[in-house]
This record gives sequence, C-alpha cells and structure tokens, in this order.
Amino acid sequence: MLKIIINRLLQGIVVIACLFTITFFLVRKLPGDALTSEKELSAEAKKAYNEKYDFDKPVTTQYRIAIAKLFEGDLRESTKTGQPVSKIIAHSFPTSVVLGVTGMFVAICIGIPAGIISALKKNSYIDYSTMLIAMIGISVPTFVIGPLIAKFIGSNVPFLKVAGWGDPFDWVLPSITLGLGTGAYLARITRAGMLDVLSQDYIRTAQAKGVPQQMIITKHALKGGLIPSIAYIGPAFAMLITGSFIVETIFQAPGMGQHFVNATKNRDPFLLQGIVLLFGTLIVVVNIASDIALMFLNPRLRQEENA
Amino acid sequence: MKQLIAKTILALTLSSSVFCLTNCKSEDTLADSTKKKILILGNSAEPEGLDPQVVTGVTESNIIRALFEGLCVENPDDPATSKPGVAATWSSDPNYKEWTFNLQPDAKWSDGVDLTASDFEFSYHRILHPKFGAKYASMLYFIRGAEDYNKNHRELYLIKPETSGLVWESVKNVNFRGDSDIDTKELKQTLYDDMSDKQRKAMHDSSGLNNLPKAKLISISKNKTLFTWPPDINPSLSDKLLEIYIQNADKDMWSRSGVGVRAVAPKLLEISLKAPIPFLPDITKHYTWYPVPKHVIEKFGNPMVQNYLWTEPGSLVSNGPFKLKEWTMNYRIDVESNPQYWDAANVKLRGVRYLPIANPYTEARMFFNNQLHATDKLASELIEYSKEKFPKNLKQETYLGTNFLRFNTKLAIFDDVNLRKALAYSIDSASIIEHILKGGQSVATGVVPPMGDYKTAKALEYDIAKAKEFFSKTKYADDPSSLEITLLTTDQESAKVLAEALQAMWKTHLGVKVKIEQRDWKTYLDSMSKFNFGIATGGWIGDYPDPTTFLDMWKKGDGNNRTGWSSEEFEAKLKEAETAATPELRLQLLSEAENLFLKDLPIIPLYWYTSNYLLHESVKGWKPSIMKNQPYKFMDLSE
Repeated sequence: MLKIIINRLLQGIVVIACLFTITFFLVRKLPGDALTSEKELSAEAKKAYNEKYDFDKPVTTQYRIAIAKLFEGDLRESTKTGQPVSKIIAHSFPTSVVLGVTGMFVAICIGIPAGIISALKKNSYIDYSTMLIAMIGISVPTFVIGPLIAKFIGSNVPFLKVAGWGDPFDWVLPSITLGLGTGAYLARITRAGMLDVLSQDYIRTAQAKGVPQQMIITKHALKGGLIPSIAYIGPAFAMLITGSFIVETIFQAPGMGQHFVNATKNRDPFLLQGIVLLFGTLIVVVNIASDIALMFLNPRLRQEENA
Repeated sequence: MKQLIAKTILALTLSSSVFCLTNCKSEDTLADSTKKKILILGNSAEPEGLDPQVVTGVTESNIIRALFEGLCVENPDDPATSKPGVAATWSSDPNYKEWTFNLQPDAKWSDGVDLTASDFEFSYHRILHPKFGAKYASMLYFIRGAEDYNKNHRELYLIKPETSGLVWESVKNVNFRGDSDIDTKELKQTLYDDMSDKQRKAMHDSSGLNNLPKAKLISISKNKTLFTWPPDINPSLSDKLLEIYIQNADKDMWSRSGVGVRAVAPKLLEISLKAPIPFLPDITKHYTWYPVPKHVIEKFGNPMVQNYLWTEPGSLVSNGPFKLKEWTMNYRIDVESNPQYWDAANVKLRGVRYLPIANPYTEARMFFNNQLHATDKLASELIEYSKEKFPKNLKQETYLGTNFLRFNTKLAIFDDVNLRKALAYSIDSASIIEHILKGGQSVATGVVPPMGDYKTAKALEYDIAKAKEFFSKTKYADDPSSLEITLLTTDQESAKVLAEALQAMWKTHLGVKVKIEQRDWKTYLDSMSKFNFGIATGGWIGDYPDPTTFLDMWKKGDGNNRTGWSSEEFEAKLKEAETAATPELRLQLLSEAENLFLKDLPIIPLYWYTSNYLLHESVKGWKPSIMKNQPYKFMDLSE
C-alpha cells in the first residue's frame, strides 16, 4: 500500500515538473507579451521592464532562474500589477475553495440521491424524468444557467443578490450554478453504479433471505454502488476549484479562475505559472487521495495493485 | 451512536447558519449607501495598480481621480474650462510657453504633510526618469527637455565644451542613441559572456553609447573594436568620449537636463514648454501630471524604481478629495473622505466604492437589482432594453474617441489610394450604428471627433457611386474577385459582427472577397505592430481634448501609427501648428493637417464613440464629460 502511494507521489512530481516546463516555454511562444498594448510603449519603458523581469536574457537562462526561484519558494510577481504571485494566490484561492466546496456540496446533495432513486425506480417515469433533467444539466453550460439563476432567483429572493461576494448568502447562487452540472453527471454515474450492484448475486441472496429493502440498500448496495461516484468526486472537486472562471464573472466572485484566464490573456508568465503549479498540484493530490480512498473501499483494487 | 452523529451534524449546521445570519456582515443596500453618501460604481476590471505614474488605463484613472488631484480639475458645468485643483491660480506668457502655477496655500497630503511645488518637481522627475520605465511618460513631453531626458539622450548633456572639453561637431557622427535596425532577437538568446566579439559589437551598436551600462563601456574601452566608430573619430577622441561616459555611467542627468519644471517657491511652480500649448491646464487634469508623495515613496526604497508597496492600503498617501480605505483584490476598492484635502468642506460624498466587474451583463444585472449607482458601460444588446425599462437611467454621451480601420500601406495592394477610397466610400457607417452598435454613435467624417472650436473634417461619406468610380481606377476593376482582403479584428463577439457587416458591404458594392481573421487581443496587437495584416479594426481614445491627440500618432515612426503611411507635408503642417501665433491659427493649421491625412486615407474613420452607461437617479452633480473623467468632488447623493 505504502509502495503504491509513494509510486503515485513520484508520478505526481514528474507530472507537475512537466506542467511547469511546458507552461514556461509555451507562454513565451505566444504572440505578443505583457507590454504589447494598444498605446505603443517607448523603448525606454520596454527596456526597463525587460530588465526587471529578466526577459532580456536567453530563454534557457530565464528557465534556470525560474527553477532556482521556485526552489526558494519565490513565485515572482505578476508582470501586469507588480504584485507578488503568492499574494494574488493567497487572496483568491480561499474564494475558489469556498466555491469548489459549496459547489460540490450542491452536486452531492442533488446527484447522489437522484442517482439512487433512479436506480431503485429503474425504467419508471421517475427514472426517466430524473435522467432527462440530468442530461439537460450536463448539456446546458454554466454561462446559460448562471444568468438565468441570477435573473429569476437572485432578483426575486430578498436575501439573495444577483452578483457580489459579501456574505455567505452570496455563495448560494454561484454554488448552485457550479454544482448543477457536476450533480447531473454524478446522478448518472450513481445510477449506473447502483444498477450494477443491484443486479449482483449477493443482493438477490439478501432479498431471498427476506432482508428488508431499506437495509439491503443502506447496508449492502450503497457501499459498492457508490464506488464509481467516489472515484469521480475527487477529480470533479479539483475541476470545480480550478474551473470556476465563468461562474466567477457571472456572480462577481473574487476567485482564482479570473486570474488564470486573465494571466493567459495578458501574457503574464509568472502569474500563469504560479496558478498552473497550484492547480496542477491540486489535481495530482486530489487524484492520489481519490485512488487511496478507492483502495480502502474496494479490497479487490488493493490486491490487484499489490499483484 | 449513529443517531448521535446525525444529531451533532444537524446541530452544527443549524448553529453555523444562525451564526452566519447574525454575525456575517451583510452588504449595504443601495439606499443605505445613498444615505451614507457612499457612491457605488462598476469599474470594469481590477486595476493594475494605483501609482498614477505607472498605470495607463481608464479603470485605474477612475480610482486615481478620487485619490489624487492635479494642478487643475474638470469643470463639470463647462468642460471647455478648468477649475482650480492643487493650483489656486495660473497664468502664462502671451506665447503659452512659460506657465506659472500658484499652489493652494492649504494643499496637504492625506497624512497632513504640506504639499509643495517640490512635490511636483519630484513627481515629474520620477515619471520621466529613463530607468523608471513609465509607460505614459510621453504625456509630459510637452515640457521643454522632457522627451530628451526620458529617452536618455545623454550626449546632449555630456558633450559640452565647458564640462567635457569636447565639441559637438567633432563627435556628432558617433552612434549615441543606438541603431534600431539591428535585429538583436537572436542575440538575446545568448549570454553576453558567451558571445563572440562580433555579436557583442552588434549588441553595443544596437544600444548606442547612451544606453550601455558601465561594465560594457569599460570592455569597449579595452577593446575598441567592440563598437562601430565613425571614420572621423580618432582613438584619442574615442578614449576621451568613453572616459566621460564611464565617469557618468550611473549618474542621473536630471540636474543637467534643464527639463522645464521648477519649484520657485514652496507654493510656486513654473513650467516651461517646448512649444506653445494654450490648453496646458486641460492636460494637467491627466493623472500622469498628478503629484506623488516623495516623503512616502522614499520610505520604500529607490523612488526611481517602480514599486507598488507605497500604494498599499495603510501606506498610500494622496492629495485628492478621498483617501484609500480598503483594497481587496478582485473584489472592491473603498475610498473615504480625506479631511486634509484643501477643499474638504465642499466635498459632499463620504466615499466611493469601486467594484471590478468585468462582465457587462453582470454589471447591468447588478444595476437593475439596485446594487450599483452607476455602471461603467452598457452592452449594446442591453441598450434597447434599458431604453424601454430604465429610460431615466440610460445615459448616451459623446466620448472623445474615434473608431476606424487601419490599412497596412506596406502591402502593395493598399499602397493604392484609389482602392483605399473605394473601400471607404462603400461603408455605410450609419447603418452599422443603427443596426449593430445601437449606442447613438455618430458617423465619423474625419479622424478628429468634434471638439471645441476645431472645425470638424467632412471628408467621408457613404457614396456607392464614388466608391465604384475609385474602384474603376484600380487594377482590380475588371476582376474584383481576384482581390482578397484580410480583415484583422479582435475575438469579441461585437467585433465579429462589425467585421461581417463590412465584409458584406464590400462584397455587395465592390465584389471584393474579404477574409476575417479574429485574434485574441494581444495576438491582434502583435500582428498589427508586425504589419502582419491587410486591414485592421482599431480605435483611439483622446488623452486630452485637443486635435493633436488624434493627429500626432500618424507621424512617421510613431509606435501607434501602425499603417506604414507617412507624409512630410502632413508633419510639416503639424510642426507649423506647434509654433502658430494664435490659438485660432493653430486650430486652422491642425485642420489643414487632418485634411492632408484624409486625402491619403491610410485609415477609414468609421464612427465617433459614445459612452453608454446607467446612472441612478440618486446621483447628483454627475455631468456628461467627453473624457469620462467626472470629478467626484462635485457629486452628491440624495434620495
């Protein structure tokens, strides 16, 4: 078990190193740079800027400096604002985490019960309508759902606002918007997982023995039936944290998604690298955690890995 | 056990909800803010910073205008004139070249320190310092000697017989300012230490003596072949020159530069201009001309190096009607009354809150839902809706800017003025405004939008017959389909719709094929500056209300020209206007210059901008401003 975890961690480090390197070179290959602006800048301003950020040096030297700084724990500054990247991340990451956690909470609250009910009422109208709604939830993008929710719920419910990030009530609409798609996907996965388990011999045996249906579900079916959902929740959680750009702009939430997209648009290399590094690490860690959780839930997986 | 766990979870959830309901700070409603006289504004994006000498955008300017104050401020009742700012009174000589500003006796920084003319001298020194790298330093090039100092033209200060013993004539052919034709892109991929002598020489030649650091000057003095010397320079002369440059390598040339800014007395500032500028008070309203606090900036290290630390909440000291209270990144910026402000008694607002709302639809929703006093903009799709539902709140005002199409005249096809004119006359701008933009813009008949006493050009109109006539003079007349034009534009949806409209007009009226290239903002700008386009959409917002802000950019070598077009006649006219005897004559000459420009038509002016936004009824004293720089000090909020 420990061997597997160490192995996964090492793989993760390689992945992150590759991510950092690829981002470093790709962002420098993009047309234009941070100083490309509508009003052309003087040669003096460009020179001062290039010297400040080492852009006057060969790319390989810049890469060496970047690695050295990284090991010192220095993510450098945003070339657009001059503010340290670590400060920008520290300011915006908590909002992204809140959005991710509340979005996931919404997704689980909607997805898992809907999936279970659908599986139990297989091929009934309840099943069909739940899955239809789930399909719509998956297909309709957040930039459509978000404004609709803002307009019809945000402007009509007294304690909710159409946008803003002041108090916990402001978390409600963005988390619903963010969680709906994931919830819909989760519902379909849960349904499939539950159906798979419900057709197993041991469930039939339990039914034959006269075990009450409620106990069969809670005690026997859920444990196996939720494995695919749990495998999905880990990476989905990371995706919610890292992919909330649209929800952030619709609801004016000061998260990291905006920095991520704007850093690319503004050709802000250090900020982009810092965020990629953080998001990459997050996705790797969450995936490892999800693997470990699955190994605990499914003894067969443990044995296979050991073999 | 399970029941206990369930109960505990329930209890925790309930108690945390109650805690949030009672303790979490709720946002103020708009009515509360109105009562407290806190103006809440949508402000398009997170500002890049709050140092007036570093930033360049409108977003930043909106906040900086509340925090700082220049010599003069906008007069909301009469935009053509200026009201006193830090300067209580001002005057100029009859030539508008020598200006004197008497500062307010009570002008203070928000920390109570006296604001003096030396602060202005320091500020202009800082923004113009060649190593500071201010992106907008050129706004101060009106001042005598400012451009030379900012561009580090050290030879002007170092080569003087009385100090260096060198006569200008003897060294005038030396490469002081560098050679921009030398391509150093590849060279930059090699470390200086690893370069061959030939490569080093190319590097040195591209920089010029003025821009070489001490170490490189020393290496040249040891090996003269590392720099290209003109034939008329003998070794002893080059030795002498290098010696002077090495001695002065790290020295600031400010005191020798004679830049025309002088603090004559604590409250008396003199500014000498390089040419007569009757509208100098208007220019001083621009944030690049604002003072910055020397006594604060110096605490954070070398003031001539950009450093955002002094602009952090708790550190930022300003001289405007408001001072910085809170700045939470990507969330909001709050400013509050500055009791030290010289005119604090007349400032009615108690504060301004800026929300960085990038999404215009979110911003409009927030306004419709009573969360904002004013939006920064209004999406064109929402103009009709706002007209119908919020007619009192919709504002459509003239904005000092021109939207146009640039031709890449370096391309053989666009070197033909007849083709440029044919394309220009076949554009129905009125229809574009009515059906696409919907913002009340006006058809541009020239590059300079209507302003003051300036005679607006009437050089363009939608005339298919003329378009066809010009087209018949081109080599594509017989087979229009042989001509394929690329139209470069940005990745915005509105840009695509405009490009498609132009594509359709040119196809219908001239039979020309048009390929639209949509690129993200930086790629679009990069393609333009590398002349990698045929026709490109573009626009220009004036920095000050004077025609030169729309005309100077078309001079040869100006980084904003991007058309490849230049005309000696046009530049001569601009030069002539600089020294015109009267303001009337000056405007006349500028108008002639514009007409020369429009005769060649290296750009097609499409429309003059308007500013569309929503304003709440409770905001009083908010007057239309063509520069969109309404001064907050004259505003008020009431139910």
